[in-house]
Amino acid sequence: MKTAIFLWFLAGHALASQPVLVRVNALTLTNLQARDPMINLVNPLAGESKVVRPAKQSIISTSTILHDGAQWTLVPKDAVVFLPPAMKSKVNARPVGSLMPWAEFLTKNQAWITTSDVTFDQAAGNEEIPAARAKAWAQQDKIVVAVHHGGPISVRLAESSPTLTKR
Amino acid sequence: MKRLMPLLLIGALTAAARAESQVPFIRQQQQTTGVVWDMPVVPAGEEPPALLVDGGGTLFQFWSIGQDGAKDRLLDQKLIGAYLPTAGLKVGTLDPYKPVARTRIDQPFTVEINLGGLLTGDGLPKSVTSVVLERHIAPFPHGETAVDPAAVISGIPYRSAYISTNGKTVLKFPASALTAADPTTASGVEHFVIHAVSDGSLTQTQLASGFVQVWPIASGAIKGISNHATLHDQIPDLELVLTDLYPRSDTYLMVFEGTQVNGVEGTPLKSFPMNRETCESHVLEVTDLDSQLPEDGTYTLALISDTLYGRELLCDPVTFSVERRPAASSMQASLSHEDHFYH
Repeated sequence: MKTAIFLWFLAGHALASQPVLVRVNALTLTNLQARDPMINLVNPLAGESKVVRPAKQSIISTSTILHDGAQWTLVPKDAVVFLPPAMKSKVNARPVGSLMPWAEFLTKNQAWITTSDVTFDQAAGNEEIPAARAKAWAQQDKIVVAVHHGGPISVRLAESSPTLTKR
Repeated sequence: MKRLMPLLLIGALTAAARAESQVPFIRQQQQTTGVVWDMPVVPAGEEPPALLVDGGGTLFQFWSIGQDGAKDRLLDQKLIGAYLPTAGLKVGTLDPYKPVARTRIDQPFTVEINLGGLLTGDGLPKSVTSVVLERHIAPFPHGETAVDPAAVISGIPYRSAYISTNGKTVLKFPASALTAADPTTASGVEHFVIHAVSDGSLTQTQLASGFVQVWPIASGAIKGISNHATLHDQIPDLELVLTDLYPRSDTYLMVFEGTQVNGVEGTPLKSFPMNRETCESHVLEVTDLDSQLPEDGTYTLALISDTLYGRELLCDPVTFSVERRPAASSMQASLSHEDHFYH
């Protein structure tokens, strides 16, 4: 109780020591707003500066959805490099359940997803993915996702990679 | 091609994206090859893996996807390229609050820009000599305290300007440009974006961005008593209307003896401390004023809010006089005594 009284006294004392200011009014604020420093810079003429703003983008619409019925995740389009016919129902359905980061989803669903490391040049289509590796994908019943440093990556197939099965 | 550490977006791991209901994704898209890579999102403090950045530019995007309805939001993006200018942007305010910059509509703030790689020389195209700084403003929708950042910066800017100087440039804004019918009540966000000037080959041009939350100036009302009133009976109960209190503020109903609020010591009758993420409005009741002012006299009531911007009145103070009538029993005793005296 003594402490409360002391704090209350301190609060009252502190309140007495500062000047009380009048609330800023609309006119004062408008005058402050008029002093915009960008007015003094060189402003582009209408249509002169060609900038591209990030309008109407969606990561979901530019991704492939993978789901196990209860959870889902997304990877870049063209990151799924092999899709067995039996697994088609697990790809690109409407997302339901909870969203998981890619790494967690992969750990949980290793029974039907596997990964294949690719270099950046392989992803860009500048370098062929070895045919033997592509054949190995086709011999298993798992979805194969291309990864780079652990993250899923889109793969543009090189001209001479006929053995890959595109999704 | 060169390797860069993508530290730029790690700082964008905002509270919104860390919330359990949100899942963050960092996506990189190389502009020339079209290769898209989802960078593993690492916990704070760990070093992310190296990325490949080519001459045509690589776009880094920081996304947040909500669990409810799978709604995606682009929180930030940056274009980095071997032949593009480098840019950094930081908004500074008087309020030390983190993780986002916040200010009040009438308060100054700074935009610090750091540029590199711009060329100087006659006849060079704008794409190598300048960047464009855009200022976007957006009020909070009615009843809300957030705006989709991608929606804000995708529109026509409030103002734009070329900047052609490498190194640090600091712009000092005396107040926010947000407005409303009464501009002191305006709230929303201001986004500042630096764009490369495209020569037509770039699909995205955003090099850096930053934003600041803007909150209104608080106001208030003391209801139940009128200015210059003379009270002969009990002091009535009061209603205090506190509107748009600053997220970190301490608000008081103070009483001062006399008619002034400056130069005299006041006594707090009611307090309302607040430390939140958004501004808020409240209504308080004061029911015990009569017992706290037992002496007759002239008093002034003031609604005062303490913020880091100072101690301010929320509305005009209310001055009133208390001239209590003697109680009925004491009046009777007094009359009886007078009767005895005179007869």
